[in-house]
Amino acid sequence: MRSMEEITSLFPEKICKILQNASLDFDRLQEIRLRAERPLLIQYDGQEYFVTDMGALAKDMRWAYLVKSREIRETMETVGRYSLYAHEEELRQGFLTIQGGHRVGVAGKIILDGNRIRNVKYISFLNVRLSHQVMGCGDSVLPFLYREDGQVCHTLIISPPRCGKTTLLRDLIRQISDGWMEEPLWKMERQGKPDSYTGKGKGRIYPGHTVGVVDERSEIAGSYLGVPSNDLGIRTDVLDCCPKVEGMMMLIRSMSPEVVAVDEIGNYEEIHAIETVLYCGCRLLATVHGSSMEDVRQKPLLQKLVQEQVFERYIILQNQVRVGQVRQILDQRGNVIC
Amino acid sequence: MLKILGSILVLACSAGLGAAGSLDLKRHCMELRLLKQAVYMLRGEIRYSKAPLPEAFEALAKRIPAPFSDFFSHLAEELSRPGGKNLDVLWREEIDRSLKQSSLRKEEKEKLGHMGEGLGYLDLEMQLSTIELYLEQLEEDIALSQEEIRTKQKLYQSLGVAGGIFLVILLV
Repeated sequence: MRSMEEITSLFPEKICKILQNASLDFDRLQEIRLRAERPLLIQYDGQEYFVTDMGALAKDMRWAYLVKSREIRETMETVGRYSLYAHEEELRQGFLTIQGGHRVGVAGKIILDGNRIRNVKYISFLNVRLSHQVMGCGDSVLPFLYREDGQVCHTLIISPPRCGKTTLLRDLIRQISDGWMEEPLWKMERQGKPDSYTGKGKGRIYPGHTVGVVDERSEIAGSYLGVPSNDLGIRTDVLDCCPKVEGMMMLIRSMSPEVVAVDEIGNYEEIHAIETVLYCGCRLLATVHGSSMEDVRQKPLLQKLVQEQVFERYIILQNQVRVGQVRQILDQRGNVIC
Repeated sequence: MLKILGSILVLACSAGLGAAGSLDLKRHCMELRLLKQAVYMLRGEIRYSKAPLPEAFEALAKRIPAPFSDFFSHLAEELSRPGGKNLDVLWREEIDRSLKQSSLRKEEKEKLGHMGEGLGYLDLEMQLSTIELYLEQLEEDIALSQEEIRTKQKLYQSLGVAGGIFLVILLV
């Protein structure tokens, strides 16, 4: 319940009360959207709802509470902890991350400095996206991410937005860091799971690895004052708010990780830094926006890595049934293994 | 015998009052210097670590003595409280509460209050300019206070002793 209180306390009194009256379940709440003089909207259990003055969820917008411009301004003050100057870099990217790793997206009037975005003013649109740590969401893919010698495979998680790629990455980091044991065969048979689920080695123990996480947007660890709010495992070091390119190099030099984890790779410098990580002998765990293997093959920057068969596993996500649902796991040649 | 004893007591009290007046002047100057130190540290927290204000205030509170440690720690607490008031309102309320017993004068508290109005507003440059402006004002106040010590310290002490002698002559 503490997490829900953390979220409601971001908003001014009226909206805070409305959300409290709604008695929302934190685990089922995905988004809260505020737009100036527009209805208060939430994404709950994968469905969009209007929220009324009394805190009831409605499908009819006539009953919805209208958010005031003043309330958006006050929310920004709380979200920015009265110090928007401390979040300038994040605001330039259009969002800021708050305690707990939740992301607050902003839109308004952009202030330009030449061709460069300097800041955002008259912020009139907010999207509070809640970060959830789903312990065990990586259980079904984890057995496929290890080589015979116990090393972690270079893995790329491919997922469209809002399909749970960061949530999956977070759980994989935690389990790889802590180490885990495959369930013994007799237990799996009793639970009615197919043999193919077990992957390699029944009941095998996978020892923990040192994991270095470059958390550019504080989303993976949700660090507050440098300490992760989310459980990322006992052998994990986190570089918070650090650009991925510099961060990956720094981690290798300073913390000698066996596995390096990064979220949302995309630009040339990041791909180049990834190559360096590979040359250093570290295993890589990364995510990228995309909907299929074909999609990734068509991205000029990633194309090279795919052709060179750098990644040994591709995990493709979808959210047709539920968020974080694994559609396919492919090997380095693009063959479906699960 | 009783008269001599009484005279000594009156003289001692009156000299003590003079000395207390001069000590007040010194305390006032020392508090202004402490405030300057605190504001310098705040500037450092903002400039180099880009710390949000509640964090910066909390860090400051641990490094400076009372009454400013109370001022910044209460402020950090208030700012971290959900559904709080505006920063400038909280800043002024805290000046009235935590610095009530300090030797800062009304106009000095007013200047400190103005600094709070500029904090948290706009970008990093704005924060630093607000702090620089206040530091300039603080420098002037410290210079004035030193001048005051130089001119009034001896005056208070001599007046204390002279007043005592005058009272003794008058009463005896």
